[in-house]
Formats: sequence, structure tokens, C-alpha cells
Amino acid sequence: MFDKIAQGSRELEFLSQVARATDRRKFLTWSGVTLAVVATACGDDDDNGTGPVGEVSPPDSTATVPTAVAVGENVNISVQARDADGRPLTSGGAAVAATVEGANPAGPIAATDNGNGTYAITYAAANAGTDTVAVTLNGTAISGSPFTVTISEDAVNLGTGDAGVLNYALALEQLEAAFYTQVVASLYAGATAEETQILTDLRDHEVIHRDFLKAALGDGAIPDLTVDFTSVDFTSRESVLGAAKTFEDLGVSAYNGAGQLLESADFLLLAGKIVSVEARHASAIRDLLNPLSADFAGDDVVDPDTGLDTVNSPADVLTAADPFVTTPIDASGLPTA
Amino acid sequence: MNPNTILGGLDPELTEQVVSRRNAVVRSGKLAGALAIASVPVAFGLFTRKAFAQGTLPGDIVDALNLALTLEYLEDEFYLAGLEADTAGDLDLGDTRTIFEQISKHETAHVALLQGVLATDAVEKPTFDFTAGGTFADVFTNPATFITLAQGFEDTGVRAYKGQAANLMSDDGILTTALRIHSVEARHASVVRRLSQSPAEKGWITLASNTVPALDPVYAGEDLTTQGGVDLTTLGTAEAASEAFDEPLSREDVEAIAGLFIVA
Repeated sequence: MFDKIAQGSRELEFLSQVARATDRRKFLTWSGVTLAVVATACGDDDDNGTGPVGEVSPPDSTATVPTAVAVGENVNISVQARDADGRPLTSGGAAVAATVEGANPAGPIAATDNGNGTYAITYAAANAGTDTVAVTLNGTAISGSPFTVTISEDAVNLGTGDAGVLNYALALEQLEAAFYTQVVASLYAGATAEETQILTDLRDHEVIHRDFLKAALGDGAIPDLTVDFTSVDFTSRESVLGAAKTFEDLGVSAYNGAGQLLESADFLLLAGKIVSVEARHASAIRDLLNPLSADFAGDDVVDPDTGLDTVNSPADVLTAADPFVTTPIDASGLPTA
Repeated sequence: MNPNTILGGLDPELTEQVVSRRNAVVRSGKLAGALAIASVPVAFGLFTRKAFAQGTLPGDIVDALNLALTLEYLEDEFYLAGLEADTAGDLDLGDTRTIFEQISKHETAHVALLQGVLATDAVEKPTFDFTAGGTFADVFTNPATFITLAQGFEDTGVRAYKGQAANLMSDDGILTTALRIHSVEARHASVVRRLSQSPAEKGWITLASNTVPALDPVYAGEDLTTQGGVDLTTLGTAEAASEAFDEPLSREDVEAIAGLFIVA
């Protein structure tokens, strides 16, 4: 009899562990961030998962936080209060709050107490970027805090055919125009007259390229992309000219690769009119960085054996541009030959 | 005739030759058969396919690439001669030599590449006169003149490749190869332009202007400020609008410019 009861108790405990493991699995699929947290709690469960649930323990309490949310959506955070053994509390009463830093600073935001040991926190993700979310329970950080949430825009689809290729060019011109606009607006100290002239010209050219493509594409033009130049130190000559070199060489290789994707001879000619100007830019920037050297058309970009400039596919170009563009770009509709 | 153009700068006798040569070039574009082309005087066989041993490339590709090859022959020989004159102490390139060595390396590679693509369809190398009959008599003794011609050749090269791109669309590989040469010519043009002094040229072309009047034909039509039906002056200044887009040159205009430096 006693044995049967003990056995039954063990069965119940087993079933309860299975249920927890199932919850845990869901947990894992919801949030990669909490993976380590769950693994830790798991060990505690197996060793100490018996007896009545104890006092709430902030370092053992967990939260489900989405890793990625689209702009304009809400970030919904669910907090589970747990005891020191990682067992969930079933009653409320704790003070739970979140503080958001990054793209959508807010808080502290007080959580809604669901009264069953869980708490809900919600904030609006109005801006694209990265949020760092610190979650506290009774003033102490919970396990895994702070959490990182990436706020991404909806992917911009470049489209298909020649319009898609021109949108691809527009994306690159948007990137370049935004870059030089910021360069000129806060030019690094000590820029020479020649550097100022060149960077200002480049801004004007790229703005015209961007606005021309936008006008030519009309309703078919992609919307403005969100750019991210946090990796560029705009107060540093080396950083600015280094980034300019990257953008110009990338632009040249992109147009060189896009030519064969175009069906229209008129568009091919227009792309040709732009790419040689990008190559002139690349040459000038490279010569500013290393005057009177061979770098204007260096062996790193022009194959010394064939005399051919770099060529890149849209996929490779967009990968290279990705660190500078926050908006996801869907290039799947572009022609491949 | 505008005295500030290349043609206007030449002596009357040479001008007459050049004009007749130019007319012949224009005509040759309308001629169909090898016999008719062979009857055209001076150097026009240089721009056409060999009458025999034709390969498998489409005719319009062969013609476009041979135009390019002719310019590459010209550039290649020009830079090799300049570097040789510098080595001999006749032309002091000073600290610009590294730039011209790099350009020369590319032009030599371009010649080999185009000869390889064209195979038996490749035109033979013309005989060049870089003084253009005496107009640029000090080309290999005066660095300023050498740089001036280098600028003219590179800017012409950019425009020539651009003008031929549409003729290469039937072959993706050849089109891409040509585009990859085209952007290298533009890199060259930019750095050479910036070597010109008083006043310093920009690496890009403002309107149709340049500081060397004799090179005006190279820049004719570069002042376009409307592209694809869009008035670019609504997006920026006319100067910036013209700089932002490079213009093509027709085969005939390229042949006329190159023809100034071709003896036979």
C-alpha cells in the first residue's frame, strides 16, 4: 500500500517532469535567448524538484523574450517567477519591470501581474535596430537579463526583371547617397580643400543617381532603406575614406555584374553611364588614401594578369552591404542571367 | 571650324588628311563587303574585320571588340613609349611613373585579352603617330603633353566601350568582360585627369569642358543633363548632373579621334 502510494507519487512526479520538459521545448522554440537559462534550470529540477515550491528567487526566474520583432509590432515578454530550485510559482505579487535601451528606449515598464506566477510586459517596437531589455523581479535581474531583441523592418522586395535590377542599383545608390550626405554634414577635421571638394562632389553625384533611379522607376521604386553607419567613425579621415573606398569598389563590381542581367539596351547604357562615374570615384578615393601609388586601380581590384575590374553578383554585393543596411532586402526575384 | 578643337589645332594640310580620313571612316560604316572596304584609303581596314579567316563570333561583336582592340593597341603603345622615354631621361614622369606603369600593365593585358577573344578575327596593330602629325610634338619630352594625351585616350576609351556595350548583349560573358575593362579605363581616366594641373582637373567630367582645348572632341556631348527622360537639373546643379553620368561615343566619333594618331 505504502509502496503503491510512493510509486504513484513517483509517477505523478514523472508526469509533471514530462509536462515541464514539454513546456521547456516550447520555450526553446520561442526564444533562443533563454536556452542557457532553461538548461541551468533543468539541472536544478532533476536534482531538487521535490517538496513544496519555495520563495520567489529572481536569479532563477525566467522570461520568454522574442529575439526578432518586426517594426510596428509589440514586443511581448512573459516572465515566470520561480523558486531557488527553478520551480514555477503559481501565485503573483512580485514587482516585475523591464527597462529598454537601444532603438526603442523605454521604462522602467511595470509588468502586468497575471496572479498565477506569470507576468506580462509589452512595449511598442517603433524603430528598427537592436533593443537591450533588462528585466527585474523585486529589483533584481532575472536569469538571462538583459535580453537582446532585434527590431527589423519588413523585407523590401527588389522585384523582377529589369525593374528589379534597377531597384538593386537604387538600393546601392541610397546607401552611397546617405553615406556621403552624412560625411559632408559632419566632415572630419583637417580635411583638405581637395578632399572637401571630392567628397562634396561624390555626395552630389550619388544623390542624383539615387533620385534619378527613383524617378525612373516611379511607382515601382523600392521605399527608402534604413541605413546603419555605426561602424564608421565620421570624425576619422581613415574611417571615412576607407568606407568610401569600400562603397565605391562595391558599386563598380555590382554594376559590372548587373549589366548582363538587363534585357533593355537603354537600361544597359544608363547603367554604363553610372558605373564609369563610380569607377572614377573609386580611383580618386583610393588615390587620396595612397597618393601617386598604383592603388587607384590596385591589384586588389583589377586583376593584374587580365586587367579586368572586379565583378560581383547581387547576392555577394548585398551580403557585403548588409552590415550597412538595416532593412532586409529580398533579391530573390532578380534575374540570374 | 572651331580653332580650339583637335582638328582646328592641326596644320591645314594635316587637317585635310584627317577630315578625309574621318569621312572615309564614316562611309566605311555603311559599306557591306570586304572589297568595298579595301577600296577605302588610309587606315580604315584597321577598324574592320579581316576579310578572311573569320571566326564564329557574331559580326557586331567582332566589330565592337576590334574597335576596342584598336584603342587598346593605341594606349598600350603610347604608355610603353612614355615609360621608355622616362627611362631614357627624355620624359620626366617623376613620381607619377608608378601610376603610368600600372596603367600600362592593364593596357597590355587588355590587348592580349581582346586578341584572345577575337582570335583570327582580331585586327592588326596600326602604325601610330602620337604627335598627330606634329600637333603634340613634345608628347614624349614634356610630361604635361603626355598627361594631356593620356587623359584624352582614357576618356575616349571610357566613352567607346560604353557606346559598344549594346552590341555585346548577345553574349553575357563578352559583355561582362567589356564592362570590366570599361570601369578600369574609368579608374585610369580619373587618376590621369587629377594629374593635370592649373587648374587641377576633377576625376570626372564637368559639362563638356576641359582645360585642354585640343581635346574638345573627346568631350563633345558630355554636357547632357537629361537622362532617361528625367531632367537632372531638378535634382542637382547642371555641373553635378553632367558629372554624375558619362556619355557614350559613336563608333564614328571614336574612329575619328583615334584616326588622328593612326598613320597606317
